[in-house]
Amino acid sequence: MLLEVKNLNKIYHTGKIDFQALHNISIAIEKGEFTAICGPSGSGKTTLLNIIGCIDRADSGEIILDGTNLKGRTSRELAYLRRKYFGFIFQTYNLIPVLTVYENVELPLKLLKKYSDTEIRKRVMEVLEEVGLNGLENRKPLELSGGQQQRVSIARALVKKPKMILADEPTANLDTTTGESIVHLMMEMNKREGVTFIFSTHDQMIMKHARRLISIRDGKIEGDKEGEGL
Amino acid sequence: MKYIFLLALKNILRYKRRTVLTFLILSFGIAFYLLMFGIVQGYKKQSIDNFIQFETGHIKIRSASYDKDDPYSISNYINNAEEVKAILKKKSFVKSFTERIQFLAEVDNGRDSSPCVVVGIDIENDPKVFTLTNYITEGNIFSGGALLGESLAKDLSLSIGDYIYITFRNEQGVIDSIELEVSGIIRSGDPMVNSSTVFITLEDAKRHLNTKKVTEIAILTDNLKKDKKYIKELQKELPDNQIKSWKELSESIEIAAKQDEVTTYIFVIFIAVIAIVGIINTMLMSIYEKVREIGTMKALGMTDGETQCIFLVEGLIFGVAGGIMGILLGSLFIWYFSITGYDVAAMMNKNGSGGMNISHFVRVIYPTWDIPSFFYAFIISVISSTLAAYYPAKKTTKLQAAECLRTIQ
Repeated sequence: MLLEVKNLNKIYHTGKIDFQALHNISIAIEKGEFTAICGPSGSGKTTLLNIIGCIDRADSGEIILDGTNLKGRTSRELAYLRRKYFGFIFQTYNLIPVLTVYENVELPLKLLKKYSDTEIRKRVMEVLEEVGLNGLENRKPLELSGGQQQRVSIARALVKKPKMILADEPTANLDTTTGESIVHLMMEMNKREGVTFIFSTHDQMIMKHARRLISIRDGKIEGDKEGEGL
Repeated sequence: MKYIFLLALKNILRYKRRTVLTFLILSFGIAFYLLMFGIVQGYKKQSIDNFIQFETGHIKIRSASYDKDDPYSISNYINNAEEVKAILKKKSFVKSFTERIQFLAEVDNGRDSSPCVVVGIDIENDPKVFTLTNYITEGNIFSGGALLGESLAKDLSLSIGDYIYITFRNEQGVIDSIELEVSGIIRSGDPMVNSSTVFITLEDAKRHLNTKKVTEIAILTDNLKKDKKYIKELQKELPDNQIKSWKELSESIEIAAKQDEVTTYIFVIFIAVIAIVGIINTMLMSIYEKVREIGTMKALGMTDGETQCIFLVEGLIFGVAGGIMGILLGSLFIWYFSITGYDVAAMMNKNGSGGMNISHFVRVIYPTWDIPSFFYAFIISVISSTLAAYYPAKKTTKLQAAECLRTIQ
């Protein structure tokens, strides 16, 4: 078991109004899964992904990652966990605009502080080729199309060979064809590299590629079934 | 650390106009500090040089009863001048010495009058101690003649060959008045000499004052810096005389220079505050504009300390670059004014006080190159901009990755 989430609750306090984003969520993710979390906007998909990825904290419940309970970890410890275990793909790509494609992709490796510049260069070029961006490494993100930017984002998530990649609506800002190509790329990486993928979506076209489909509505799990992509 | 530096540098270069503006504030602040400091130091050096060259020499011997609050009193006459001169002749460190008489008088052109100090100088020995005669622009000094400061001559509309009346009290306290021909005009770097001094020969002064005594003996030694040692030696043999070095006599200049240094420091603090506020503002705006990026970097595994470090390094880069640019600009300013001079008198006429204590002794200031102040300027620049970056940088540690990523920009 790579990840186990038990009785997760999250409440947002906005002024005098409390909004419960997650109600007693419990899921388990095995290594190598390609899982979609689906549900309408505001259902709690992003919150769940953020908590799984140690970007946000739950109000109650437990997360056990690779056999380690994350309860009570300091923000520094959580940062190191994110650095080591997770890759992130965002709906709006979230690339650093001042850095080139190459620099954006190498950043997670630089943060790990365990590779030489030569090793980093080799790995970055390898990943850029895998995602079909070779030759564009010196471009700035804003000089690329949306699909290309999302490929950079995928390369950035993949480059350090994380145990798990969390993708929050990775195709929502892309047209159908580009969205399809991005999902295919993710599937290919999942197969080839064995990286566990959890992605959120409300797009039916994308959902069909998932091997496991977790439905969420109003912060509660509505269904958990095998997907067509199996 | 390399990637943190890279990110910081790229962030700085992202908003060019804002960066240039902040950078200019810092650079000009540093440059003005260096110029101000150079001017104050230049003023101090020129004032002391003037003081030594026109008034004190390296060491001055006076009567024991000399009262600095009443510098032209009759009791200031040295009674043992011959004994003093005999001792000075025996001292190997004494390169030369000269006698002078100073007394208060009123100079009159027949229509207008002006208070002045009359200085009786030994024509033969005075140039061996003082540089006064190098500044004579017209005519000369001779018996029966008077050498006037340029401003004084101008104020009284006097030129060579005109006659003046000098009214004074002689040693016995009797008011006397003498007629002298304007024999020369002097324009020195010392405004006091230019505006309110009349020089006559020592012999004329003694005759008119009806005395054989002098009020001071100024000495030029072989080493300006050994003044303490020489004074100690002289004081042993001349216990009844007041013997002072140029340093002690120029205390008032030191005090004035210190006050001007304080003014400079206040100016520096003022500039530093402006630069700090500018940097804080630039960096806070930069942080608010980069909230999502901060969130992304934290999501990628960057710790709070590392994100804070990026902004601290931005401040450091501002400080280093601003410091270097400020030093270059400051050098340019100092170089320019060291050639043209900074006309304090003109500034005074324009702005009243001019804001500084300068002008009593120097008319045109030539700033000096004070190397330690360049070093301090650089340190001030680096420390103040890094400190300025601290608050905005600290703010990034409070930002939660999830909240940052939720921010709509």
